[in-house]
Amino acid sequence: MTAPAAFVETPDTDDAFPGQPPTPQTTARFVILLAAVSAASIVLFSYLYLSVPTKQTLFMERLTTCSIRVPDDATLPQYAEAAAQEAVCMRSARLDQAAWVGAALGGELALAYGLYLVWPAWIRRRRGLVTFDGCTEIEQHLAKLTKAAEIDPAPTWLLDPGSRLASGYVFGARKRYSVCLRAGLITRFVKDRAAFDAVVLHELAHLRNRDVSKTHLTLTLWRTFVVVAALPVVALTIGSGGLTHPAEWFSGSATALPRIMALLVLTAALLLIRNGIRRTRELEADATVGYFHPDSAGALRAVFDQEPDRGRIRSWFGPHPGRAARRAAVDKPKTLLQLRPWEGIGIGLSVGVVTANLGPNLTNLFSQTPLAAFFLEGLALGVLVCMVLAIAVWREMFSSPTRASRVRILLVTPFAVSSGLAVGQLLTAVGITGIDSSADMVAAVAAWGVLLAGMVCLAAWLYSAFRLTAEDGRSAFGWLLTLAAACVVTGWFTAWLLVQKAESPALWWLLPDRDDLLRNETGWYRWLAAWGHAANFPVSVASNGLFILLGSTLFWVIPFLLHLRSGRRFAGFGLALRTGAAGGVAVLMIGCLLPIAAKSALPLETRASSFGWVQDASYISVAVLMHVVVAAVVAGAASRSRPILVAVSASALSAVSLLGMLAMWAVGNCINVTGKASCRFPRTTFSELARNLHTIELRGMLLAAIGCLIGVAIARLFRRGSVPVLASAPEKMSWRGAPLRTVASDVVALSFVVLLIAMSATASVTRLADSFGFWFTGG
Amino acid sequence: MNRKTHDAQAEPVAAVAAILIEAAAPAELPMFPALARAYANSVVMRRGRDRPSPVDFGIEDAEHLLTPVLWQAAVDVVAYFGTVAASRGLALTADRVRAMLRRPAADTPSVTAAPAVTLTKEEWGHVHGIVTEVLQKSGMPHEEARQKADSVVAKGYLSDDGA
Repeated sequence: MTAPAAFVETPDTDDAFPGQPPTPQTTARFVILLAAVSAASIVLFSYLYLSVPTKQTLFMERLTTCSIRVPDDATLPQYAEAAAQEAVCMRSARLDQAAWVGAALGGELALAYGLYLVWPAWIRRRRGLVTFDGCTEIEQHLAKLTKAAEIDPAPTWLLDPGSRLASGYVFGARKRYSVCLRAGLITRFVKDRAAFDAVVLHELAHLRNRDVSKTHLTLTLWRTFVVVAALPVVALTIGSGGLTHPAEWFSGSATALPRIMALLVLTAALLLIRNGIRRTRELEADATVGYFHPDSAGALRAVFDQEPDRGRIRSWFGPHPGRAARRAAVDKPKTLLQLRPWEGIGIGLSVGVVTANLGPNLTNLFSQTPLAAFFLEGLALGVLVCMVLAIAVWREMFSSPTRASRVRILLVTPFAVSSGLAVGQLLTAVGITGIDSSADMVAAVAAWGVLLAGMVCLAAWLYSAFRLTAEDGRSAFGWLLTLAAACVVTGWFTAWLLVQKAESPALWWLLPDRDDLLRNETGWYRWLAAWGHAANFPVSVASNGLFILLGSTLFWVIPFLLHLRSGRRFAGFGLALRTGAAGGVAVLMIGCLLPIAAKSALPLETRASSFGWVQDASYISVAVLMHVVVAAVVAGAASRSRPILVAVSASALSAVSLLGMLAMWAVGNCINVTGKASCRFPRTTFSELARNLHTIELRGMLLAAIGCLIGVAIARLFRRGSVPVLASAPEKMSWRGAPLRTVASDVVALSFVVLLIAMSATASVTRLADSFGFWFTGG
Repeated sequence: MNRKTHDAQAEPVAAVAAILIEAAAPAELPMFPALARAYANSVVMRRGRDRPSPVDFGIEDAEHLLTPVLWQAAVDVVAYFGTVAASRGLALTADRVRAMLRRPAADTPSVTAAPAVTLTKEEWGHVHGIVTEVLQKSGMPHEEARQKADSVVAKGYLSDDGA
């Protein structure tokens, strides 16, 4: 079906996708609900498992036997070893629990599906629905409307003879659907045919949007969850006196309060998601009528106007949208795509609950290498967060590309999703059972801050990349490739979050990981070196990220390659490349001076013992700090695509800095800074170079984000026409008839890009091999 | 009451109800065949708040439906007709009811050849009273209920009166 001409001509000029129908969003929400129900059920069933006396005895005995106390100053390998031993010891008990919980979850889902199958027959019988046999005039008119709505096969039309409401509903299962019209509505068939048609077309729109089965499954899933999972927990809590003795809420190992809180939050979240699905489907059906049947849009609006206002709270959280929202859906269907803050919180909460409860089960599978479980949990979380953000950004742009709200994209959505995620991460099966009641709220808040910062950066990059893709022709390939690049790079902050969860106190301290080598005799080098290698626990773990180097390169490579296809110049790309390279050369020159300065400032005894490591750390510090300067310059000069351009400059800076490291070693050798070197080109390995590149790039990107903000702030303050701004409309790229200087500049730039990609690819592969062992073999 | 008896009673009631609806609530006539089947199977109009279904359109605007009220009136009228017919030694059938109200069935070319039951002026007045009372019980103002009852009995009453 093509869009009606009236719609294509009349929508607001902001519509970048004219002629495209509104896209139903119920499927994504249903997937979130399914995941949230599963995760919430796992949490509650885990508690119920431990309420079975024999299971409780078995599990707690095993837990007491297997508990290993890890010293506060344990290193990561020590922690990993202890965790592995504990996991192996607990394996049989955890598998028993997993089997029990899995069976209960399977039963719950099967019951929900069974109810879904029998529900249509139950509705028909309970409400005494009848067919329209003999009502020839109505039957003929309904057939006409079905044909107009292009619904094939036609649904079964039924009458609810016992209802005075002027409405209707669709129900059914497995593609056998019925539309029930209430007796109150039929009176309008005679009195107000337009209103009758609008309501019927709305119901047919549900079939067109394919949301009927999903909605019924949503309702049966919710009801099954309440009966099978939530009510037994409530009953046990009441039975154990958990509710009647408030004094005991805060005492004892298995306090009732976390359980009650978890139960309330999970149930409320599921209820809100359920209502969200119902509201969305109604709005989408309204939008579909407005789009495909503009003649009925006025009548539909008039129907809404007859309805009394529901109030904000009911409209926002209830099962049906408010009058204003429904009118807006008919008038501007694409505004439905914008992610509301409450939706963001709900989605974040669902993702948090799912991943937080995925972890313990992964630990069962990877009992020998618990870090692998952490890694996979982090990866799942990262990919889910990235996809949520990408969908939110895409929807915001799709709804209104030129007026897409940056505040919503860069602040509101990350804030909402990260807040939900932070709460969801606290709602674990371990927490609710009271086995581990040592929830570190301070660390949880800190983790939320880290998550928020990472998500703001990612949202900014996604917005830039998607905008570029949209300008270049909006190919599906481009969108997907951009999304894939974003997913690859998300591992770093999820690893951060997860490991922080395991060892939260370490988050707060900058721990020089080679403190023994940072002796006082090294003077000012000590301070500088501490910058380069001082790390808190999460950053140390992130240094072993499998895809960080690859991801940070893809951050600019993918948008650059996609833009090349459009045949236009990437505004600011050359400047970013040059600024990054210039920064790298500056670092290189400082690096060459470092051994000379050391030789004149430090005694030979100090330089002879482990000075090489201190010198490398100092050099890395210079390179990392230079990222702030370069990012500030690039972000300040650019007027768009800042996250991509900063990533380009960071890659260029890191690569040239790595070459500078070789120069520094060569100078150190030639001036014999350690007293035992000869003037020769330094010997090194790919592994060492890749590790150094990884360190510079990871820490450099973290500081580059800060530099970017500084640059934007300075540019805002001082840009009054005097500072050159990069062209906002990229010119066509063509070498035919271009000056030789332009061609030469392009060739050099492209060669440099190829060099950067080659270096990054080599380093990524090398780091991949080195880091794999850290996560998967306990090495 | 067995099913056969129930059906036998339902048909005259449906016949009377159709006439009542045609006169008093023509907007509800298109769905009458379906409603008649439902009411014949003892489906009743839900009392109190008519709760929307979880998957409903979402509008709680309710229409004032006369069909259930008129159906109840038809039940009472048919019961009265039954009494009158029995007093004259005749059984009450749908055709006989239609004949009493001077409304032939749509698919029958003429009124049944069976002897008709003719109502007196007083008996028509009683029918009028039944309809008025039921409509008033449903919340309709007295004057409006009376007018609707007038239109219901007008044809039969005038015919019989003129006979």
